[in-house]
Amino acid sequence: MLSTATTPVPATEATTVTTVTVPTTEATTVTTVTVPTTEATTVTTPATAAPTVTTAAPAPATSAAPLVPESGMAASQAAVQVLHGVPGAEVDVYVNGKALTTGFNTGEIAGPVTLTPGSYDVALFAADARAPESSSDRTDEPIVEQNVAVGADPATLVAHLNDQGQPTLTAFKEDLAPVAPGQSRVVLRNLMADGPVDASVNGSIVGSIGAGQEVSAVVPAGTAKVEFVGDDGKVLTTANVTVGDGELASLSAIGAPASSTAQIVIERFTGLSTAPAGVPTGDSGLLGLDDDQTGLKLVFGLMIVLALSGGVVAFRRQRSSWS
Amino acid sequence: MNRPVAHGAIVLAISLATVGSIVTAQSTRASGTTGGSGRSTLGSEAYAPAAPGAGVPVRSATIESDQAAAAARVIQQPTRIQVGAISLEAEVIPVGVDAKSQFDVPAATTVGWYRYGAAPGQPGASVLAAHVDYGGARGAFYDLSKLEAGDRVEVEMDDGATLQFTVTGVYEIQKHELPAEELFRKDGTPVLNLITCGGTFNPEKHSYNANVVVTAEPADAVSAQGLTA
Repeated sequence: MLSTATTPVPATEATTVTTVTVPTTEATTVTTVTVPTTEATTVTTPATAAPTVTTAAPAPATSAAPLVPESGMAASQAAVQVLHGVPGAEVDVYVNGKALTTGFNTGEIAGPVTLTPGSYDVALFAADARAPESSSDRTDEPIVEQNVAVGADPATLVAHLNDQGQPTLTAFKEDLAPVAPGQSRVVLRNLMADGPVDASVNGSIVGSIGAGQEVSAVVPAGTAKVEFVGDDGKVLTTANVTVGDGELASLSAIGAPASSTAQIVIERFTGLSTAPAGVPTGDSGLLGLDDDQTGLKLVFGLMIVLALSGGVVAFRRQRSSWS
Repeated sequence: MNRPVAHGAIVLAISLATVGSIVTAQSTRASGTTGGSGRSTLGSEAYAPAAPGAGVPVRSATIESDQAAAAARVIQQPTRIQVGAISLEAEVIPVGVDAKSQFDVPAATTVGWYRYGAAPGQPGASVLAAHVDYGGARGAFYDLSKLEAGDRVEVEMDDGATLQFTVTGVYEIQKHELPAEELFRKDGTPVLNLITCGGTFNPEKHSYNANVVVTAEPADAVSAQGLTA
């Protein structure tokens, strides 16, 4: 239902990390973390193809919501996670009127839950210690309530601020398509209360993405520096992320840069890996020329030795019988 | 944050009431506020029919907690391999793939450990590969095909431990039929796969048409279930 632009980033193992000086303005939240590996100052250039950017499909306005999934439909069900990306709001989450999780905090993930494809009514209320199990028993108004379409693929449903600073819900399909051995995929989502940002990986801009949009890049397994850069060139939020072979890291920039609540949250998925294309382990032909003949020689040699020793024994026996 | 957790604690308290331990429920609540993981959630069974009654797990997705979890994972790496049956003793180094996405087999007499796969003894396949011959000389795995089921393989790890494996199978497989996804599987029971070249040498391509694959399993597991190869 949504597609993502994939930009292969050059696959040198040494690919890391443009050290970028981050302006220390108040509005800039920097989620810099210790860099686990050695820092090479190699700057990688982006691949030639300009990525296209796709807006995640918003929830359709239909109200044809299949209710609780029937059992025995596992094949068509999708694993869906719910990510809380609205800053400073502890919420209770209801799906089709039933509480999914309560006391859900910014930067937390709930799930996965298995959902039959269809449209779901999702509502977020301010957290209530006595949150009723059914949203119809609530007397307060939801912070946000939307119909959200869920497909057959793994997906993340994110509650976040739109570019007007209002809470909204967006479903993102997770791209688990295989990557080459030694590679990984990073997906960058702009879920901040801000306009378009440049999403960059290892110093290369992968795409310019508006609020609610995503781009992805295939990068060598290892540590990648991820940055969301505002239109004035200011780094809004950044992180160094270590992504393993065959892993997907979905990185959502959430919060509001204007109020210093921008941060990156991460989801990890595995199962994208492919095996090496081959195991080239010989170039000289010694095995064919040398080893087989050696083996044959050994066999012949053994036969000769056996024959000789047998002869000697026989000879000795003769000698002893003579004596 | 505290209040809904308290809600979960009430559920806990009720369920624990039969055991008569409200104190336990209180302490559970206290720990639940720090990690956010031991929390009870509501109504989740309606959305997860495969696991009725299971709560929807909630965890932190912040970069900080992700990094902390990564730092807590320590992966031991292999440093040496010894196989008495073929008088093999060689250094092991971590390797990835080359520009052709092939196993980046180290030169000559060094053995490569596929660092994107499992460490020896860990769930999944741990793969060690080395040349049968290289630049006109014998490689580290020259005699690999002479191994037999039951032979012992020892792998030294960088924490000083020596892991014992027992050979369970020796195969010669045409390269175009190599079951790479199985040989390099990321999960499942621990297996150690030793790979080199074999079969017929093509002098024009400077390569062999087959791979020799030796499978080995942790010695204690093999002795427990018997050798089935």
